Amino acid sequence: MSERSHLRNFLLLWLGLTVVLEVVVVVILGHDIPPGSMTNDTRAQHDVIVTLTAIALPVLAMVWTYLAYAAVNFRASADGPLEDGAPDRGNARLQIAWVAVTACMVLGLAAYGSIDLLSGAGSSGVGSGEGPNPLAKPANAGKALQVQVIAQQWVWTFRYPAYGGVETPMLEIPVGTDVEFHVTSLDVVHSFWAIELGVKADAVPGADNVAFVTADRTGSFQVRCNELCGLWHGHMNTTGHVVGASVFKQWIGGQESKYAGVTKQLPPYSTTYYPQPIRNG
Amino acid sequence: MESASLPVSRPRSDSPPLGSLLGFNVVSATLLAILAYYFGHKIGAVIGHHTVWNTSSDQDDDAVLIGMGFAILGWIAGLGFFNYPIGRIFGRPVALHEGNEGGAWRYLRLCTDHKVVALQYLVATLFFFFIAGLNAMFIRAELTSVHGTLFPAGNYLTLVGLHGTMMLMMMSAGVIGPLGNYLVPILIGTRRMAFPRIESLTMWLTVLAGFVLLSATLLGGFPTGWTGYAPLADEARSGIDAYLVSFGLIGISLVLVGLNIIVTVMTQRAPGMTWNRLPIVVWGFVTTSILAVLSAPVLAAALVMTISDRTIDSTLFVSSSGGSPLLWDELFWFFGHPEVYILALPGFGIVLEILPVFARKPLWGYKLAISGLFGVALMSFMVWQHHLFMSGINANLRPFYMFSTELISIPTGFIFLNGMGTMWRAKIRFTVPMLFCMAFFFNFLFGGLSGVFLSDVPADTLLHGSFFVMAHFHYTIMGGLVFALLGGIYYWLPKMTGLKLNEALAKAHFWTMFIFFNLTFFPLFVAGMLGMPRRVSSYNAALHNLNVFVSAMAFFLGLSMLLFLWNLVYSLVFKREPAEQNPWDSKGLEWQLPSPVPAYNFERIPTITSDPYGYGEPGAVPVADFGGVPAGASA
Amino acid sequence: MSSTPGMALDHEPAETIPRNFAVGSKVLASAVAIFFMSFVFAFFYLRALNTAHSFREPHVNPPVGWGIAILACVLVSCAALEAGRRALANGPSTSWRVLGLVSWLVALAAVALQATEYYNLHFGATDGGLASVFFVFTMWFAVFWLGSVYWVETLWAQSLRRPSTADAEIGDTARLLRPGADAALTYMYMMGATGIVAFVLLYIVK
Repeated sequence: MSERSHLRNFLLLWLGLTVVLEVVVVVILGHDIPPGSMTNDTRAQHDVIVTLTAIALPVLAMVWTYLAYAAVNFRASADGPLEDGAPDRGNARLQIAWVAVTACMVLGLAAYGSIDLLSGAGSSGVGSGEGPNPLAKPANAGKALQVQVIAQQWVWTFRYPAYGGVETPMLEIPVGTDVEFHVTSLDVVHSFWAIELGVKADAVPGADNVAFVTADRTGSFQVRCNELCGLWHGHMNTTGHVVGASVFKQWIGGQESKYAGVTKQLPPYSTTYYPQPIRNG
Repeated sequence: MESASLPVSRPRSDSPPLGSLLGFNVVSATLLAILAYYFGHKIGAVIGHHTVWNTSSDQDDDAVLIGMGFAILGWIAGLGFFNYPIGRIFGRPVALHEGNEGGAWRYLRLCTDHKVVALQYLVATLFFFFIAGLNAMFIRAELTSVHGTLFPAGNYLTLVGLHGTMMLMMMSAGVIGPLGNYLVPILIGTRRMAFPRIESLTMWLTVLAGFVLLSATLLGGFPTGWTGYAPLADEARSGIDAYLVSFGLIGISLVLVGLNIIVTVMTQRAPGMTWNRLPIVVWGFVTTSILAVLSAPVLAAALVMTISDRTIDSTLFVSSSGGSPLLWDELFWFFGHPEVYILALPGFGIVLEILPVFARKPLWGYKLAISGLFGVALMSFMVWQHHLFMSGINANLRPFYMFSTELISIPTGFIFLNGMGTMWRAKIRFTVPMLFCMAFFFNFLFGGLSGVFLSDVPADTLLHGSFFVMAHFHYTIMGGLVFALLGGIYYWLPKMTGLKLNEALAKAHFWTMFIFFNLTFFPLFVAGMLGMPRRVSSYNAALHNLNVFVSAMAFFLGLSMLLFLWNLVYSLVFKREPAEQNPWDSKGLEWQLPSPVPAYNFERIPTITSDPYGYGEPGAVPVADFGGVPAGASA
Repeated sequence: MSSTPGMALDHEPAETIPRNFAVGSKVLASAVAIFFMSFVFAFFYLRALNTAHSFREPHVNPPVGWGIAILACVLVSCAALEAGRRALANGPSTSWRVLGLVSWLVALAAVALQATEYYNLHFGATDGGLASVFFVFTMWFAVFWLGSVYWVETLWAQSLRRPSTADAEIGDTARLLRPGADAALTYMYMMGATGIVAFVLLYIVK
């Protein structure tokens, strides 16, 4: 077979496999790709992951097709004498084209990711921990409900500065409201992962890490520690709830009165806390 | 630095009797190291008694660390590495090779023959590789139940840490050590490495590092995984000291290996070995060496900072006293990201070296491949903050690191283009090394593409720190580097040992490993996307079936590795069938030498006349002119 | 192990060892420089973060006099070896022996001064970020400086030794002295530069 027909056959097979993969993975399975659609952040993440998958599949198909095509068509005869392949050492035009195409893909991906992070569908940092001075925030960030997430080995507690600085082991947030998580730690590095909310932010002692989310519907979500924090890291989880606004008001009021005695004993609300470290002697 | 040896590597005919146990060898080194540990531990307990709760316990950091320091000195002294430096103090001149005689015994000693060091390296790193693999089996066994009841929580974390750290350490040393030390001098046409004593030292430090890391189990284990995050490392039990010391030893070893290879390639190339005739695998080792020299010192600095936090009570990582855990994150990942390319570049080199031999075609795009290797190496220093996307460091930097991380896929893509170009209209022979090389591309593709997901901050917000990451780097390190390494072992071991490996067993190993590797790790991408964080012993019950399936496949993967081990034992110990000089019909310089290669490599330093890729080219000349001595005449 | 009695092996080019020294010392010096750059990074990082406002506690005042004394020893040692290396152009002369000895003794004095300084400080490693960086940086500087001490000593001792029959195998010892001194100086200049950076950051900038 000539070089040209090899090339044509390969390209057709690649195209065919790409179409099949795109249809199966993106069109049929695409809707079920995590992390679901509970919040603005998860919707943004879902869209990005589906887009990246759609871009990755042709690359995957290319290498698969190529390996299979080479294995079938370019194999030496089993018991014949030693034969040599075509002795070409490179093709400048193809190499330049390859660099150009991959460079365009990379630039496109980086631009897409940056735009999505800073001003995309989520428009609030897509739920990632953005440090103390977040660049991307919701339009009415000033009115967001502040919830402080305090990590310590191996429990989560949550503090609501707008409600008397009450600290509770339960996490509830109202639906349809911008929520501003302030994540910090009292001992080692943890990471706050509210899976169905699409929020992930490391909890670093002495640091304030802000992440935003707006939930679209009510329901419950898992919270897991996502950074190895010692013995019971795997068990450092809890369940949070997204509830209606009135339910939330009622719940937080109940927490305020329930923990009123504790709140008095707590240090005043602050973005970071410095408990005395345990020292050797 | 002073331990350079002579240009002369004259074979000596007088073979001394088998050394006694009292000589400088691994036995005396072990005894001295253990004695020195107890001695150092006592001294440390005296020095540090005012800062610890309980002296002479296994939790006295000053005593443990000083004990380990003494043990290192004892080990090195017991192997005879101090003889030459002490001689230098008294003005003994530069030089003298040593320890190259003595039959099998030289494998247990300081030996400056690079081929002996390479085999020592291979045995040592494979030994620890299998231990680390066994730990992986235990981890998977724990994860067959939702709440992980097989091991106590602390032991489980120690297993996770041992698996990760041991694999990282041994895979960093396990390619550049055996294959780098073996191939670099032969392929560039010289008889030795630039600093043969240092070469041997790196190997024995690697062995020591492995055992020191295992000693963590006697010191209460360590809870931090291979990343050693502060301040968890500050507050951990003394097992973390074993982690710090062993990782530090590997860091030193990596710097010295890199230094040795860079100098050797710079100064000792045979006449005619121009830069564009240098085999691509040597380029792979050179770029790896550059990474090692420039990144491992940062690891060493981070480790000594943790050590000083634990001993002299400095507060570098304690935020309540002017330190910050983020300092560790930055330093560790500044090392850590180049480190993961230390675990990729040798694989690229090996694969591109082996492909032309079995495709019977010249390497396609030689210069592109070199620029790919250098591009990856240089860019790998500019991407480390993608490990910290969620950590709350200045978020305004994230678009830059997103961009630089995605940029690194361009030079990585070159390697794929080289591979595909080399296979185009080839005459492929499906030998075992070739199968591993093709599997490398299949696996590394998943690793690379999943890396693009992780580099994108919105997608990374879901995937960061989850099993997706774990699957990603197993696809790059195990699916990439380990597959390339095994291909390299099947390809070069006949040359290194002069013995054939069993092909039927090798093929069985390849297919089982390829299939069960993918069945083990592909589902873990899904587990990560569904919300399973790394290093947990307890997970969402909905993921139970998935984890049981993965564990079962992982056990089969472990059995497949036993096939490899059995092949080594069967072929090299029992069967011992001599290998041909050039079983693969390769044009490579190493294959023009006898199997195994004699101690002096070349009777005459050859003049290189061509690169080794001239397959099928009408005017191709042999790779080297051996100065009238026919190749293999003295076998 | 195979051996072929009577077979003559050609030698590698004679300039290989000096070139190995030259390249090797540069690579080593860059690796060690990067090790110390990590401490420089730590200094600026913690100083910028200033967590809990305790990077620099009020009583943490590294004594400048000590710093100058240690740095002076380091630099004088480098200068003496540089002068000695120039003297080596005429072979291992008396002036080389004197300068080499001066370089070695002053290098040793730097370590002794550093150890003495620790006993005369009014703060410890626990007193905040600056104090921590101070101790880690100076301690490891002293440890790596001991490498220079050793290196200078070996050069000096080597030049005292009379050529013996054993040396015939390795060739002309004196020929390797100069490349050895060059290599040692590459390392020591890097250490000198690191010492200056350490002094400026830890004693002056704070």
